[in-house]
Amino acid sequence: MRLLIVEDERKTGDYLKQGLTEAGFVVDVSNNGDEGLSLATHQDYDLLILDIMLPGISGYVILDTLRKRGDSTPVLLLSARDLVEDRVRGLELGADDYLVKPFSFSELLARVRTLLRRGRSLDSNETQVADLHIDFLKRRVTRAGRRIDLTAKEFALLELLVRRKSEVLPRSLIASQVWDMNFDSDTNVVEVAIRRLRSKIDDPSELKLIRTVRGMGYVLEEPETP
Amino acid sequence: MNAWRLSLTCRLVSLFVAVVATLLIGLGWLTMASTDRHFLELDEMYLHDKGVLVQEIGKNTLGTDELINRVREMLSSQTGLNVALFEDGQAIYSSHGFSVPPDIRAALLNDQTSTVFQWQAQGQSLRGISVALTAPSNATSKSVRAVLALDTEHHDHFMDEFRLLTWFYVALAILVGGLLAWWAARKGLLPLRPIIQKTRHISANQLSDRIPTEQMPIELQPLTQTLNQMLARLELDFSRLSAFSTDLAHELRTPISNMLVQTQVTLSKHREIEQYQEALLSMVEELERLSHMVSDMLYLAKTEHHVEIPRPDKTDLALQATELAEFYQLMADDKGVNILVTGEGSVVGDRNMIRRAISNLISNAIRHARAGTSVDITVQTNDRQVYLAVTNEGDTIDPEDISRIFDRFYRAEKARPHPGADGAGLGLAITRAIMTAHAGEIEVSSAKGRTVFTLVFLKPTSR
Repeated sequence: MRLLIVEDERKTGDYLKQGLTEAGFVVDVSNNGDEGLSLATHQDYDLLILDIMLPGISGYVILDTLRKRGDSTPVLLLSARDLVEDRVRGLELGADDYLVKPFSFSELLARVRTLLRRGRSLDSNETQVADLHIDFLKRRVTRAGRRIDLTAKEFALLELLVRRKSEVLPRSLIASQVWDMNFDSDTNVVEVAIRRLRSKIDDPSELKLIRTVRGMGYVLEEPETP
Repeated sequence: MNAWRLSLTCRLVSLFVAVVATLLIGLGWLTMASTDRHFLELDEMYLHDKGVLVQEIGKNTLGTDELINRVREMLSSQTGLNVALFEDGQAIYSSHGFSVPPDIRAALLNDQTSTVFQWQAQGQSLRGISVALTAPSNATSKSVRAVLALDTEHHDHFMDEFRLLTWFYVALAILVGGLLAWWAARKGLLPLRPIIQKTRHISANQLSDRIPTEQMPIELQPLTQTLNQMLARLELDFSRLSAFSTDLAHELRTPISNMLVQTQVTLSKHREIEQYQEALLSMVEELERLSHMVSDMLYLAKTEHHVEIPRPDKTDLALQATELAEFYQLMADDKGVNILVTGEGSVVGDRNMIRRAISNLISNAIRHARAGTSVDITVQTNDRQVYLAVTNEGDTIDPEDISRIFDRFYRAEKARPHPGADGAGLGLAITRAIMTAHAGEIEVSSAKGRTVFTLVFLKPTSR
């Protein structure tokens, strides 16, 4: 997966590159609009991350130019301004997502993965992670063949973690997806919810699937060789 | 469009001039029309008079020649009168230089009602009638008619002069009227000057100045009062803004200083990798708090300044409260607190904003609830309003704190027990701003260990 970041703030660009490279992407960074547009036009990328305010031409212009050429590469806009008009303008021009600075890296990573997954999601009806088996239709969860009873929200939380296996999910994203809390809320609640889910899923087992990534969020994955 | 941008003086003057001009032009036109008609009547009378005279002559003469002679005799004492005599349509006499154009002649000779005709001939403007004469006795079978015409040149001359004079006077009157109107408008608008002078000198540092209202004319008093009220609002907003900036700087300074010191201490000597991780994690926490605060502040500013406009949806308060209660129950369980939602009621408002308002209250209530008690959320509807009350049992809030509890960055506890546990102190300010944006209110009461925050919404009008 090849990504292009067009961001004039050198530090931001470098850290994003480092973070995304370590997350397994191939990343190019450009520091100005004109070069960014040229790269986006002549090279093949799976996703573009565009800052709106850029020297040369703005992120809006790059986006608009690409879309007018029929280029439908997913675009994630970054902006330091959080005005409804900006958001609307970006989305009208054909951006796929809009992220306001300051954002957390885990949030950005989660959104990038969502955009890349879009259009080819194969939501299966059941799945297996190590000895954890989940039937999404029947809402049945078993671990090592033993049935586990979950509340509706606990199931929703587990489903989110499983469907986005191996991705670090920030608390804000979990709160928004599971409880529809679309604003900064007490994220301690998510902590409590994860703790409870763990007590049902992981506590009885030697193999711990839900892992806390400190300062980032939570991830469900098969642990590498113990 | 352009006319509206003209100065008040210009507008007053133009209006006045328009009125004066309309009146004077009307008057001038009326006078001239009357004069014209008067001349016509005079001419008519004169012509009929002379017609009768010619008829008299006709009765008392015995032959065509005598008739012509007598008519010629009569004409010598009448200036401006022309006479032509026709016998069976053939001219037998016409006074010096007088001839009737053929088309007019035909109409005149056939006319039996002594109508006044008007025509132009040889550069003259003429008015005339025709009369039938009793035929002289020596020519019994012939019909004789006389055409009498009057040259109206002297009328026209008079009318031209009169017209010129009138229009000249009208123009002069309009000009003088305009000047007088300009002077009067300037004089009349003089009381606006002090307003201009005062407002010119009001700047951010002098928002306490007010425009004097005592000597103002009654018409201008509402204006000056409104301006003064505007100034009062600006002054309040401005002082709030200054206080806000000060608070903001203060709120940002502490976490930034924490991070700076911590980072420098961490870097001051070689450490184990775990210690670096620890330092970075603590930094992430601090930064998340900062970022949270910045977005809360922006949200508050946007809500207060109507940038964030509520999208009106029908929102079931009890349902939202139940969903939020489910979320917060997880946190409440840790304290042994139970959240109960009762009642029902719906409002029209932005679902997300309302959720945020309720969420802040529940989060506060749990934080301040005594262990083992319950947080009660009740929704009630009466004729005009819908209430959502969040009650918790815990410490009573001081009356002194109550009055400031909705201010931004205000925390009842002067020293925070553990930083990061509390929000940025913006939750209640945001809740109030959301309520204001919904034309609602927020109330608080605290007594005997029970604290109640109540959101008051207007009841949606039934359609």
